[in-house]
Amino acid sequence: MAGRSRRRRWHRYAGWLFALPALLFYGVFELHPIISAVNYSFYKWDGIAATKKWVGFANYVAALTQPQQLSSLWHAIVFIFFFTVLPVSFGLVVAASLRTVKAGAYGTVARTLVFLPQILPGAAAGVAWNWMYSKDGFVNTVLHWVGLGSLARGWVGSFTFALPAVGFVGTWLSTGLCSVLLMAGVGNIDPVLYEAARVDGAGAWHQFRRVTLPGLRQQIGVCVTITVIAALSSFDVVFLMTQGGPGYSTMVPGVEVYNLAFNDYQIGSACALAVVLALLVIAVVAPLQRFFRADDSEH
Amino acid sequence: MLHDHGARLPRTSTARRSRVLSTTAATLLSASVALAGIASTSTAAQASGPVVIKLFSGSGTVSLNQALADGFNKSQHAVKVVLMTVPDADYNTALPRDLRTSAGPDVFAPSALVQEVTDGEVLNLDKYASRYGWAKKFSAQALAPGRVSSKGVIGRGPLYEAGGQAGVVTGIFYNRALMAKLQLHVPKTVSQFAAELATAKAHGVTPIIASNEDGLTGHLFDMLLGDYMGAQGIDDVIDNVPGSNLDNPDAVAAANKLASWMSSGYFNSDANAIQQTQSYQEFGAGDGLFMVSGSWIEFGGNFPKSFSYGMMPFPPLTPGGPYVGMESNDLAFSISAKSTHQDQAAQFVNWLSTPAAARVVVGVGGGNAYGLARIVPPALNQSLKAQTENVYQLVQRDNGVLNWLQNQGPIVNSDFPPQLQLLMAGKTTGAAMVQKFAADVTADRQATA
Repeated sequence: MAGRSRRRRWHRYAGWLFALPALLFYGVFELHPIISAVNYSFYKWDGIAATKKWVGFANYVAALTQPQQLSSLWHAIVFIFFFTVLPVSFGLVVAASLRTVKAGAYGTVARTLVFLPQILPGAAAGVAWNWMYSKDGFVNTVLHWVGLGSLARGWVGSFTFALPAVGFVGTWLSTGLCSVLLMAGVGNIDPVLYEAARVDGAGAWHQFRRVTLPGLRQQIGVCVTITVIAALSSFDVVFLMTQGGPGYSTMVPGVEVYNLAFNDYQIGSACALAVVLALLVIAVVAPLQRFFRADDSEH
Repeated sequence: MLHDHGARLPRTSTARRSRVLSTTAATLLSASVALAGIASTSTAAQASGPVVIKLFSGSGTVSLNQALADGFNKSQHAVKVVLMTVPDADYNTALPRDLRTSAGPDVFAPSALVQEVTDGEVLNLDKYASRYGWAKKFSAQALAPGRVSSKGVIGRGPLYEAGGQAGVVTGIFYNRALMAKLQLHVPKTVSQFAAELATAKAHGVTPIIASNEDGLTGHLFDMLLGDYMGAQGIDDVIDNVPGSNLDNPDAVAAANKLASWMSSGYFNSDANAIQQTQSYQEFGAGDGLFMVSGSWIEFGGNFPKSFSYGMMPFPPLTPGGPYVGMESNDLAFSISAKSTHQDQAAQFVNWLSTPAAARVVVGVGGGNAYGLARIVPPALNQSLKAQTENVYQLVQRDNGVLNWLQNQGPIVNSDFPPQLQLLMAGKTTGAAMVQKFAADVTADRQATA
């Protein structure tokens, strides 16, 4: 009896033992930095001095009231349109269009071309697009070719166009991922459903609306979650292309956190903004997750 | 430290052997003595090697710093300077962290001197100043930028940064072909300069090529501040001298002058969209008449070999007034408070105050303040090198050496690009920009008080 009880106890703890290394890593590299960041957010500290000055919620008040920090949060929300809405929409169009050519060489080439931007690091894409947006770059050259030379400008230096110009790079990067995920989802939809719809007289639009869209809810949920997080926590593309400028017109929380921490030596303010950003991500993503899960259970 | 590893290991080995040998029979005593003798000889040989000190360097200044290290290493053999290099973009963030450990650099160019002194990371050099006689060698004005008071005021208090006087200088670079074509001359006042900008514009030539994504129209703003406020006036603001404040009529006038040139279309249309490197390409392609920058643009083959350009000083406000310009001192360094070889580091810093070190700087293309060239009136027909050295010395002669306003503190450094971009786009005024800089500095000081 005693032996069996000892064995049961061992079995109960053996799992934890196997998980211990991973838990240790999680504790050291995830939990500890998060707790430290929350702790620092209540202090005025330059990141170097031995002493820190307790300021309570002052850094949070600044994050939510200072126009510069507040506008960075707004820009992150605007980026959801470029990083999420457009890529998912394009992805759906691509998936629906390529549904019929999913097999064969043409389908493979098409999928590869669509996915290609996804394998590029954001930093590389930022540099490349910066060249393309420059005065003598590809975008302005094309505008001159088609007789729209009057529209040519330094796109990332324009207060009006810098945010959409940078946002479009996010669209370009995310469309590949969304397209591939949605194309994989389309492949899992039973062809009989399309056939039945056709027999019932459904055209391409109705097939898309009544068969493709409901069948892709799970994949759309994944796309939306990933790209919304990418939009809200964007850093590399903005940092490489504009560093938040001109003025503060493309400033996003990721770049602002970097500036506060490593240019202004305001670790407390940087941590407070980072915590606000994390809470914003949770506040936006959690309802989305619930929405797509609820739809799953309904179907 | 590098040399410590070499010296400490044999010592430990010797001690262990000695303990073992002391317990053996007397017949082995002679052998133990012999062993100890061999070991100690080996230790002495390794300990007699040069003391290695680490010089912190950004990747962009590697060639200069390596040349300085080589020059010093050749001048003596007891101390060896090696470079500890980080990417330029990481310099300001890596330096404070590295200074917290004894494994960090021994010698470094401060990124934020007041901050680093306040944090106790910089060695007080007063002892070495009297040992090497720096106070007799240099004027009080020359040493002032390296002094920091207990209240964080630069120019007063103990010495924390020292060295020689040689480096880059800011001024106006011009396209020689366009200058001749437009029949323009060296402007003697800011008004004459403005007239030349208007002439260029009228002839369809972009008057000034500038990059403003990185806020480098700030070079022009800094020199206008020097003209309107006087070198001492703006330096007092930057050095946080009590009672000084950027929010004053002269600074507003300087900012308004810059704003008026921006609104007149005197800059390249894509200034807000480009960084320094791209501005080199446009200037080198002959797209504009002037570029207001520093003599660092002469290093590293930034322009096509066929492109001919010259340099002239930024003009004073009134005829015959003092020339102003920002000058970096490539020979000014600090010593880490954590350095375990402070005496040797000071030896290197003292070598930097010699003409030999200044010649190294000149050799890699910087200006110099050692009177290697005779001061002459600025002229268009001199060589670029002669013009650069002349500008450096004209500014020195007129006590017109300016610091960059961005060096007032990290907060101003962060404000600079966006505010100048807003000014370029006409979305802020000169007065509002100056007030923003002043207000942010005040708020930052209050928060840290």
